[in-house]
Amino acid sequence: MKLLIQGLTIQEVEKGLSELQNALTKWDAQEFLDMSNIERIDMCGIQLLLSFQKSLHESGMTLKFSGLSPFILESFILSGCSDLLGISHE
Amino acid sequence: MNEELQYFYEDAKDQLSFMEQGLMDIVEQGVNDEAIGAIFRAMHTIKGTAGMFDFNAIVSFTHIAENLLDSVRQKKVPLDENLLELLLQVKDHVEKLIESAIANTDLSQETITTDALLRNSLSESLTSKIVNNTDITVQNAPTNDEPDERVWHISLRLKEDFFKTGMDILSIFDFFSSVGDIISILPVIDNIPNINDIDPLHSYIGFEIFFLTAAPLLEIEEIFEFVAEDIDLIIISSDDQEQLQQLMLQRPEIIDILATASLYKQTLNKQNDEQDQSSSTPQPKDETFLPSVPSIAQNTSLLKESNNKITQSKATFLRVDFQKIDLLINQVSEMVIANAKITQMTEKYDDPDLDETTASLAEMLDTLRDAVMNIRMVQVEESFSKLRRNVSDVAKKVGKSIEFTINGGETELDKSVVEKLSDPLIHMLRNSIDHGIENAQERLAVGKPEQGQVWLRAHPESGSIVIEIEDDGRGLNTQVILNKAITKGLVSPNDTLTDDAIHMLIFHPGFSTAENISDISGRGVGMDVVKQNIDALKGRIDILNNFGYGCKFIITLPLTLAIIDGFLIQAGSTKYIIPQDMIQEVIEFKLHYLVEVGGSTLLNLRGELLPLLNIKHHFSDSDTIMHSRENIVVVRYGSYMAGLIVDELFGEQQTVVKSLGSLFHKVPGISGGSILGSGEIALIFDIPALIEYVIHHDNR
Repeated sequence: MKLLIQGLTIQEVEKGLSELQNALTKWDAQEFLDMSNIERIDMCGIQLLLSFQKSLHESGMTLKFSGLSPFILESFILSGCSDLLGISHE
Repeated sequence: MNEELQYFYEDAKDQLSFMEQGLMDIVEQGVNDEAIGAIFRAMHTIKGTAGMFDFNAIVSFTHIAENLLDSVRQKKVPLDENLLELLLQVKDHVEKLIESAIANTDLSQETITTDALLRNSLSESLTSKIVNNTDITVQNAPTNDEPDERVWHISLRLKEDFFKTGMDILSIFDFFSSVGDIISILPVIDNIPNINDIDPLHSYIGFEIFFLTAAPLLEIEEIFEFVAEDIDLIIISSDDQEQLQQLMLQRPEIIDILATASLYKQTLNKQNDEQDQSSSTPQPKDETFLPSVPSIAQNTSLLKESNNKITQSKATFLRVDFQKIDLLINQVSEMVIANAKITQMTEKYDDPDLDETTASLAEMLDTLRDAVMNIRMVQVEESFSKLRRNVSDVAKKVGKSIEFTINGGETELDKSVVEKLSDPLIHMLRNSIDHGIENAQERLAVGKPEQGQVWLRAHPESGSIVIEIEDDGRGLNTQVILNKAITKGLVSPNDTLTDDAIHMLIFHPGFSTAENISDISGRGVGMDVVKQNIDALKGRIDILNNFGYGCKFIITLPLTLAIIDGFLIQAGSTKYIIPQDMIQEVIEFKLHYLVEVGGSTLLNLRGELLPLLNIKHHFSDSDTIMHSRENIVVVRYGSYMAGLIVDELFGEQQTVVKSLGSLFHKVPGISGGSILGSGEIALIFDIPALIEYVIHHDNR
């Protein structure tokens, strides 16, 4: 499942919400969230991903990422959320 | 400009001011670690906060300056005269970068060139001087003198609208690394709803952060300065068990989170071990490492206490937009007018309860007014200190050695007055150094020390603030001034003027010429503009001259401009208000008080002769009503006194100063108007102007 928007910041987060709500309805246990389009992210966007992850957990599924750029990865680490989002530091 | 940007701007200006003060301290008193630390911190803070707003030009430039300053701090690079000069230029340049960033404009070609030159100079200073001081570096290399590093526990909650401020908390976390090391950041996510319930613009998240730094608590709090109103922040020392307990009482959700904090666990266990070893009483090991959490019910008092303690540990200053204070003052002003009306209406009813309530309200309003006005009062110290740089620059430019002394920096003055005073003071100081202080040869020839002295002093005096600029230079040459004034047609050769009146001619608009307009100032203003500025502040300037030995300019200013304690009087058909601070005494008019001296009528006040002004005659009041008795109000401004003949005395009156507009602009002796409770208008005396008028009148 690929996010079509290019950023998950306060400016784009409402569109992100719409895409993720839509994704949830079709999510498959083996699915990855493809972030390769995402060029920028802020804490508002990370919070949205955490919310999405919570919804998946409630349905007994996990969130796995693909296509993370180094910048997005760094942002996850900086926010302290990388462990929660299942991202390894190595 | 949004609020965060405004904070950044204000803070950056403060930091640059600290930097300049630190540099001037070193110029004047020699190198000291405290000043170097202040300069480094200023550059470091600007770099960090500029980064939060993505002001990359500022970040990259200050980064180079910060590197150099860090080497200076570690004594790897010596801070010599050239480097001090370079750092002063750095400060000026950063100021321009900030102005440009705030205005969102492209850098001018000149600024771009300066930027390149300064980057080059900074890099050269860093590399060449480190190489040239290898032995110093070696001697100081193994420094391990970081003061008291400790782990702080920062418990942070973003308020609901945090994201809407446009600030990204990640930028702030990024800035942490320039102050210390983040050991761990533990997000608090329990409140985040699922994807179908979330409002994506609302913030639901919090963080528990463990941060290792040598920086003091205040500096850590300053990291959050720009978002202070949009977060809930508690910072405790991680080894403080008592505060940790209190924090857990306030935020019980952190208990589970802390249990996962392995690094925190290690740190605390290590601290517990150390405590156990040093303690004479063996303590049981707590396997969970976390202190037991007392029940909330048992500990409501503890909770209250903890709130107090935590609140106390926060910064005690609040930065407020000046316009908000002005709005508050305007509203209080309107209340003062409305209250005057109520007081007057109350007099119609003989109701003791109503009288008492009105009196009580007036008293509270009085206190409120004082408190509000006090917000605007600032010490002149900061503003004066900035002038040290100007003095140093001018002295260097004209090749004179000057010792500049500031006294009375703690004196308080209305902020708006302080701001408007800056330009006149700069010009007068430049004037003193450029024209007043002789060059070294001249000074030595007349037996003066080579180094010239310039003093800037401030002190309160009878409801006014007096500021003096004094130098030990050549003083004013009275005859030269008079000759020039006659040549320029400002006075007639037949005029008889006192020395003081002649000296005051230097403030005449027609007196300044190309030769005495200082090119140093670069503004092309003469002393006439200085006088205009002081007049606009309802102040006055006097000159105390000692030809050959120096000159002192004395500026007397009112304490504040907006609301004053007034004294209501009537002369003829008009009501007037005299600022109460300027009233020396009031006496009933008797003919035997009057003395005729040289064609002028003076007031003989217990043997002291004072100039006298009949207000009714002065303002050409055609009123023919016979008043039962006349009175004399003796007013004082600085060291000057005069008597004013008036009719009725009504007493104290809280007075809101209102502008009278252009119609009254040129009426001498009237500074504004005020609306009385009855709806009548009372004119407010401009006492300095009236005194100047009577003195001038007598001098002629």
